[in-house]
Amino acid sequence: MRGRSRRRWAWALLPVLLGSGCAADGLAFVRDDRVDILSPSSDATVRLPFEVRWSASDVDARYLVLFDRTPMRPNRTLRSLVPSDDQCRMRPSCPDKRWLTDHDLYLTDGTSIRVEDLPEERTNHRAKDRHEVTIVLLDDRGRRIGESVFIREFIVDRED
Amino acid sequence: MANAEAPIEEVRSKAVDVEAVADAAERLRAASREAIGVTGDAEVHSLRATLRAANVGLYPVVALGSLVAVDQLSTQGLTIMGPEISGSLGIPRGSYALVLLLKTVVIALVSLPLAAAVQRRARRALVCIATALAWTVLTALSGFVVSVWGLLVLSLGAGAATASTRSVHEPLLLDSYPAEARVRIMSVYRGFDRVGEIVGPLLVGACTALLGLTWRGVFLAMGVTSLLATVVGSRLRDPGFGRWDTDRVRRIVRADAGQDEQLAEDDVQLGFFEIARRVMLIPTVRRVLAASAVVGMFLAPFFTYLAFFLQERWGMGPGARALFSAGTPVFGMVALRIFSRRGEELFRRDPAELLRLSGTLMAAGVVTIALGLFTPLFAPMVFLFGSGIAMLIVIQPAMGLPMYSIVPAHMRAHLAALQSIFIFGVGGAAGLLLLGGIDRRFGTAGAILSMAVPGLASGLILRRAASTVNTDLDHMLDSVVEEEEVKALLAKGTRLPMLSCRNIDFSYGQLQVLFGVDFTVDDGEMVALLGTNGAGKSTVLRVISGLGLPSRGTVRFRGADITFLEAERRVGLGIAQVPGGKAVFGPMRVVDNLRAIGYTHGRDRKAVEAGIEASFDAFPRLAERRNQLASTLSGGEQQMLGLATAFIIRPRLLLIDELSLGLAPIVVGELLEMVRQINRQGTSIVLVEQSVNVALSVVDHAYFMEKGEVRFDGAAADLLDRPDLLRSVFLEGASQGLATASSR
Repeated sequence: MRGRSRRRWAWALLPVLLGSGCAADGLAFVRDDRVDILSPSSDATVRLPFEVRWSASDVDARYLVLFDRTPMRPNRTLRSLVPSDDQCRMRPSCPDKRWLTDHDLYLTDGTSIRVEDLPEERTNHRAKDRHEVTIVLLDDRGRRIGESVFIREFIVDRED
Repeated sequence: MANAEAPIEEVRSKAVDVEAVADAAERLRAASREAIGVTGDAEVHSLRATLRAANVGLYPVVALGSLVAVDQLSTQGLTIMGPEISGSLGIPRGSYALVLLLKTVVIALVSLPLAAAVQRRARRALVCIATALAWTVLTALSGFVVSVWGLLVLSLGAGAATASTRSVHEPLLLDSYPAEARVRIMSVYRGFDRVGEIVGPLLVGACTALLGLTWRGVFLAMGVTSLLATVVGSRLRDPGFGRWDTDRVRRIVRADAGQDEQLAEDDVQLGFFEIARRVMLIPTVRRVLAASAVVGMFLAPFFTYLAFFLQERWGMGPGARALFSAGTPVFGMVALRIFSRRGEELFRRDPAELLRLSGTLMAAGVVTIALGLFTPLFAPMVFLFGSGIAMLIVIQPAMGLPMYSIVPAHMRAHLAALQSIFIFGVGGAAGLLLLGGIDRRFGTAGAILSMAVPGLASGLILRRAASTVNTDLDHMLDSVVEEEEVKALLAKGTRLPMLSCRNIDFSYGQLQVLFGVDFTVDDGEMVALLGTNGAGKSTVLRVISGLGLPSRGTVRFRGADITFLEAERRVGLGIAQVPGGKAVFGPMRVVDNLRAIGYTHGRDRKAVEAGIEASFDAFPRLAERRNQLASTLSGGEQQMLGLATAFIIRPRLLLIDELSLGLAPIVVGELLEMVRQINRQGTSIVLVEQSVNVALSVVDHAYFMEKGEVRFDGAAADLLDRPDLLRSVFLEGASQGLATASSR
C-alpha cells in the first residue's frame, strides 16, 4: 500500500475508531445530587466497625455500596462483577448475598450500612489506611442505572 | 569525461585550495558568535527595546504560550477526575492507569515523527495550529466516551497531538525572536506553561464545585478553553529556519564575499535518521541527553510520589493536593522572572555558564526538596518544595538555549523530540521501575529521597556538558560559514575539487584515531593514501564512504556537504568502496555477487546485465568462474570481483582499500592494470596501500599518514625524496619480513 493510500485509509478509519468508543445519548454532563453521603465525611478518620450513611431524594432504586473497587459498567448486572473463573458463576443465583458480603459489596434498599471489617490498604506502617466508598444505583434486576457514581474517601484508624 | 583528459596537476591547480575556506572561517567565527548572541559581554537591553529594534512583537510567545498552557488540560482532567471517570464507566483502576501511562509514552514517541514532518519545510506554525485543533476536538470528544476503548483512542490521540509542544514549539519560538531576547522569551513561554498547571486544576475545581458539572462537562469546558487558545494561536506564521542565528551568519559570510543575493539551495538534504544521528554525534548534546534521562528518573516519578507523600505525611485530601499543585507553579513563575534577565547576561557572556548554572540548580533543587521531606512544619515544607520545584523549572530555559544553539535550526525539532524521549521514555520508565521497590521498603519519603541521587548525578553531567558547549558552538558556526563560503565560490564560477575532507576528527568510542585530516581528490585523479599499519588510512575511507561518521570536520562531494549522509545514499551519488581483504559475499556465486551490487541500479535490469558483461569482459577469469561460489576463488580473484564493482555501478569516485594485501606480484600487476583502466574511464580513485612501491607506480599524487595525521600531501615523486617518512614503512615491512622468515 502506498503512502497516500495508507493516509486515506487512516483518515477513513479515524471516525470509526472514535465513534465506536463514544455516544451522544444518555450521558450526564451535570452532577447527580440525588444521593449525598453523610458519613463518613470527606477524609474523616473512622474506627472499625463503622456506619456508612447517605441521604437520597427522588431515587427509586436499590443501592450497591462498594469499597476500594470499581463498579460495573452502566447497564451491566451484578453478575459482571464476578470474575469468570469464580465458582459462584456456576450457580444461576450468583452473586448471592454471601458472595457479595465476602467481597465487601453491600446491596441495600435502605440508606445506611454497617461495616464490620475492611482489608488493610496501606503499603507500610507509616502510611494512613485510606479507603474509598462508592455507591451506585441498581434496578430490581440488579442492573446498574445510568452512570451516576457517588464517591467518598476516608481513613481507617487501626490503633497500631 | 573531459576532466579525465586534462593533466592532473593542471586540474589541481585550478581547484580551490580548501585551506582558503578554512582561513575565512577562522576570521568569520568571531563575527558569527556575536551574530547569534554570544558577545562575551553581559550588556543586556530591556526586552521591549530589543524586540522593538528587531521589529518583532510579543504575539509569537503569547500564541505559543497560550497553546502550551492548555496542552495538558486533557491529562490534568484524566488525572484529577480519575476516580469519577473510572467509577462512572466501570473501568478498573489498573486499566485506567495503563491508559495514562500509554498516553505519556505516546507523547514522547510522537514527538519524533512530528520533528520529521518539519525537517524539510518550515511549516512548524501550521503543525502547531493543526495539532492544537486536534487536541481541542479530542479533549471535547472525551466528554462523550462510554468505554475504555474510546477513552484509550481519544487519550492517545490527544497525547499524540500535544507532542508538538515538545518538539516544535521551542524551535519555532527560537526562530521567531532575536538571539538577544531568547532566554527571556523562553522564560516567558515556560511561565505560560506554569499558568497552565495552575489553570487546569482550578478549571476542574470551578466546573465541579461551582457549576456542578460531571467529568463529561469538565472535558467539554476544557475543549472550549483549548479552542480559545487555538484561536489566539491561529495567526502564527513560521519565520523560516534560523532567521535570527544561522541566517544572520550566512548574511555575514555573503557580505564578506561581496554577494547580496540568495544563493541557490542545492545541498544534499539529510533524512530523518541522518539528522537524528548527526545531532547525537555532538558531544554536548550527548551529555545533555544523558542528563535528561537522569533528570527523567527523578522528575517523572517525583510528582506521582509527591501526591502520596502529601497524603500520607500531611493528610492532604484530593482538594488540598490540587491546591498544592496549583500553588507550586507560582514559585516557578517568580523564579523565571528573576532568572530571565540574568540568564540572558550569562548566555551573552558565555553559554557554558548557563549550562553550569543548570547543573547547580539541579543539585540545589533536589537538596531543597529533600530538606522539605524532613521539615516538621507545614509552611516551611511548602516553601522548600516550592523553591525546589522552581529551581527545576528554571533549568528548562537555562539548559535549552545552549543546547539549541549548537545544532542547525532545522534540526532543533529533532533534538527537542530526542530530549523528550530521554526524559519521559528512558528516564521516566527507569525511575518508575526502580522506585517501586524502594517505596515498598522505605515508604514514599524514602522513595523521594532516593531520587535525589539521580538528581545530583544529572547536575554533575550538566556541569560537565559545559566544558564542550563552546567548542560545539564553534563547530556549528564553522560548518555554516564553510557552507556559505563554498556557495559563494560556486556562484563566482570557481570549480571545487570533487572530494574534499576538511579537519576530520574520528574516534572509535573513546579512542580518537583521526586528528584534523585534510584530504582532496579531483575529477579523474588517482591518489594514493599511504602509511604504516594503524595510521588511519582505512578510517579515512570509511569516513568518505559513510561507513564511519566523524566527530568533527566536513566531507564535501562536488561542493555538497555529505558528512552525515547514509552510506547507501553516497553510493547513489557515485562513491563506492572496495573493502580490504575479502570484498565478496562468500556463499554466493560470482554472478550473484555482481547482481547483488547491481541492486544499486534499482529495477534497471538491463543496466545490471550490461554491467555484469562489462565486468566479465574486463576480467575473463571471472567469466570462467561465473557460477563458482565466491569463497572458492583465490585471493587475487576475489580482489578482481571486488574491483568489478566499478563496472557495475560506474562510480565517480572509487575507494580501494589494501589492493595488494597478501597477493603475488604478478596478480598485483594484473589488478593495477585494471585500476588504471577504470581510471581511464573517468573514475577518480583513492588507493589505500601499505606498499609504497605498488602505490607510487600508478598514482601522480600521494598522501602519507602517520598516527592519524596527514604528514605529506604532494606529488608522488616528491614522496620518494622523504626518507624520514618512508623509513617507518620500510622498517615495518622489513620487520614483518624478518618475523615471517623466523617463523619459517
